[in-house]
Amino acid sequence: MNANAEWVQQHEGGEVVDFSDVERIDASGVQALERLADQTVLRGVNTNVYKVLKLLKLTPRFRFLE
Amino acid sequence: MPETAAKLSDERIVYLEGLVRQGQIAAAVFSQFTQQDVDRIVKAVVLAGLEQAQHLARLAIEETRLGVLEDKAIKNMVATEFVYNYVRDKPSVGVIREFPERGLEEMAEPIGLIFSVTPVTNPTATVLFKCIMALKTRNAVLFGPHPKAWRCCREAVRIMYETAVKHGAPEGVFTCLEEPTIPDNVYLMHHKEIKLIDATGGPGAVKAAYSSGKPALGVGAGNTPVYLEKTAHLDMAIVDIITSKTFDNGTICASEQTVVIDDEIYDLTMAKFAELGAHICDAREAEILGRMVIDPETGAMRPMAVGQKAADIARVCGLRVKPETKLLIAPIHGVGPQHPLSVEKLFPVLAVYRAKTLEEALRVCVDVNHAGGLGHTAVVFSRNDEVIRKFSELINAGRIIANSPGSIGALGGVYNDMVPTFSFGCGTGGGNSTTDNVNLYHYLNIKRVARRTQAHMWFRVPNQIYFNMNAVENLRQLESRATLIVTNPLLEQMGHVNLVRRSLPAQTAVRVLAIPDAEPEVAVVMQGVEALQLHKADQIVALGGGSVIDAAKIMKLKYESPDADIDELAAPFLDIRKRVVQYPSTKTNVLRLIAISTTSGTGSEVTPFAVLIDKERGRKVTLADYSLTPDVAIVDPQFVMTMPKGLTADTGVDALTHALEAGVSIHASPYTDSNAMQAVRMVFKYLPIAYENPRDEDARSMMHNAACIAALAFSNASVGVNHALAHAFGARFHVAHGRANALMLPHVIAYNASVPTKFMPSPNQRAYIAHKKYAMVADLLGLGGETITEKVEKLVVAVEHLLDRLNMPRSIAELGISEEDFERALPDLAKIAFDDPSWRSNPRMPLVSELVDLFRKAYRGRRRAEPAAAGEPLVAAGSCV
Repeated sequence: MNANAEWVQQHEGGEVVDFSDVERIDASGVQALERLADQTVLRGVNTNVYKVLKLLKLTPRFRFLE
Repeated sequence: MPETAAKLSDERIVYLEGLVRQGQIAAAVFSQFTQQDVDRIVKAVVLAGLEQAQHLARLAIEETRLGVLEDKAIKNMVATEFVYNYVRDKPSVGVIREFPERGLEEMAEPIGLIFSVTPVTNPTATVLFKCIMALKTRNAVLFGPHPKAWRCCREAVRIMYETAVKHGAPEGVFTCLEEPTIPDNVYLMHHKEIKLIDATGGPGAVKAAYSSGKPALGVGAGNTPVYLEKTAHLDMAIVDIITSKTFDNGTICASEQTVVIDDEIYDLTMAKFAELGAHICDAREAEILGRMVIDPETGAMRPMAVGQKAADIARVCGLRVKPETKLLIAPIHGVGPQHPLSVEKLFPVLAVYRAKTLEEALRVCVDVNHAGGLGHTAVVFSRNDEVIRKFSELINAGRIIANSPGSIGALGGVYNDMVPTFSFGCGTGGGNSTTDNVNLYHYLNIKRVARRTQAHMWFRVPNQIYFNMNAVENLRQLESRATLIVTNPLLEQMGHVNLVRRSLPAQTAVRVLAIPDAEPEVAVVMQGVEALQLHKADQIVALGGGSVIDAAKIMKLKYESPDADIDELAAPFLDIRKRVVQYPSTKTNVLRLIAISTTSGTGSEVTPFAVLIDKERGRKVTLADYSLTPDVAIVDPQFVMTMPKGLTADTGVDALTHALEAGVSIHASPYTDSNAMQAVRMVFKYLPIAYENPRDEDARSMMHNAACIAALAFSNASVGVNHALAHAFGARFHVAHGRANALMLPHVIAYNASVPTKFMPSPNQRAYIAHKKYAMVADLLGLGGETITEKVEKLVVAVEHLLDRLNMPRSIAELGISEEDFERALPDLAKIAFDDPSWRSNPRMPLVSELVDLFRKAYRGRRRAEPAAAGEPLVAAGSCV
């Protein structure tokens, strides 16, 4: 995830991380995201990655953009 | 959190929470993996486990001091190679099973983080097995090994984990408790992020798992009875029992515990056991053994004996045996606390019982089964299949192993085709949730994707329908040796019977049975059956209205199948294809039923229904089955030319109601629609003419056909709420059926055409279309209107105009029923109407309150629209046949 996720411009909800090229997220990616929770907007998260975040109850802690 | 867990230090809790979080993340990440990813990882860990089988066996022996190195190595190999052989080609990601013919798919959903308790007796093999299951199903596992086996388990977990991660598995997919304690287990069993507990071990661990309130697979102790029956292949049985009971020094809980031996082969069996290295204890030795290896207070085996060699156990007990002794065999004379060796013994001590008879042998096996072995495993050696079946019926065991070793047999995949496992489900007998050999499917949530299916439909009608004037003459071509004509006295007087008699072939012997013109009673039906029997009839001609034809249908049923139980056949049903009661398919006699209708309404000549009055019990019995449908229907208008005006109107409106209800029924099909729509058009055109000009042959003929065509529709699509209301109201206030239908019809059309409060489940319909069907009828009648609502309203008005032309009452009040009487009856009417099966095919599911509302509307009637003048067409020119 780290290699593919890309920081982009500031969004009104916080920093935006572009997940458009992320097919899967691994354990270290999850841990990295946990540190960014409550301050980050995730863009282009695919459904598989979204489900991982859902299983870990992390979705309420991010904003999602298409 | 229970008290036991409260003993954990803060530091320990942080440690446990860390393991849980790792596993939780790993499980979530794992959910993204494909089948190919999973299979690659599984193969790699299986090879690693096989590679390390002996190493892990050695560690297990060193740490636990239980069992046999070679056997533990074999167990590790079975737990990897055999399990892999079972899972390798099994889909476990996405669609795992498909049933295209049923429109069903099963899909896998991982469970998440599993807390797995492993036993001291089979520590590393159980870890290897569970790792493979978990990887195949994309789950993470936190292992809680037995405190006396945690180091070897930790090593097994490490080997599997490192290999798995190396091949792409998520970090944290397996973790293992260091220095595990009972409070650790309790804490984890209650942890909200643990999604499943898989407890393989002693009763304590299993009970704790189930007590946690979490989904659990808890599999535990057994007490395997073995029946060695006299027809068994004795040499094979003895080798199998020794192989099994000494395997890993008896630590597999499926191993043999008490062998019940038929008297005839007992001595030979003992001799052969001794020959192959078993020591047969005498009574004194057996008593000492029982006292030493079984705790007299708890009645359970002493841990010091578990997994030890036979010779070592004998030495500790002070028994003198050969050093190479494989097995200690102790005769017992019963089961229970007075016979300590009758319980589970996870060491090479085997109880034997000499049974004088088959019954005694089976009884003792049942006793052993109930002495701690319920749901687990049982073994039978016999070449008599009946004995094996009887044993299997009596014994409650998830695994009944026939003619093979209990322990290795129960593991599956070696001696039989059972699923390989290291966890034996013991069902409710053992306090477990399954009797299965635990396998990958227990590590999955299985989702069923059920696609919408279309129920098979049908269009079933009589073989032959003859219609138009003088159609009765077709009787001549239907050969019959002896015919019974069933009719009513009036028709006989009118000469109709003679007409029929003359139309029958000359050689046919004819008898006539005139029955009352009313819904038939049981006694009348039986009178008919008697006449058929006396006359040895091969044909019955029913000449009359619905009552006569219905009576003839039931006479035929009872004549062909004398044992048919009318009460049972009248049982209610929701779907004719799934009904509980089946009509008889075997027939003592064969009879052709020809129905000649003398009214133009019920359509009984083509329907599969019959109504009977059971006077003794004061009730009406409705029978419905396509076997009741007449074989031949004759729709000859000469029999209706003299129908009185009132009857013409009543029966004609009944036919119209059949057609309209079949048209909007949830069982309507293009086949029934074509009949229903045609019937509506014919009724609208010809009923007023037949009513106003009874001698109009053409109108009579067309109305007679219309009633039959409407019946063809409702025989297959059924009717609706209108009939339910009319049945209840007509019976209570003694109003003719057609007239009762007429009172409800405009209100029911408006009701069905509006948005339902509750939709009726109807898999064959893709949308709510009743209002559109009514609009289509309006179009067919050329009633005009732009919108569906307008067209429906025009249809309602057209129906009302028709009713007016027929001088039908337009409200219940017009019948002279007081509002007070009606309101008093209303709760009962609604209840009876709701119980009526007719509405089950109505497009809109009626609420009881809606039925009440419909009754009230029928009481008041609708505001009269401008009546159509007599003789004026009710429908647009060119819209009808």
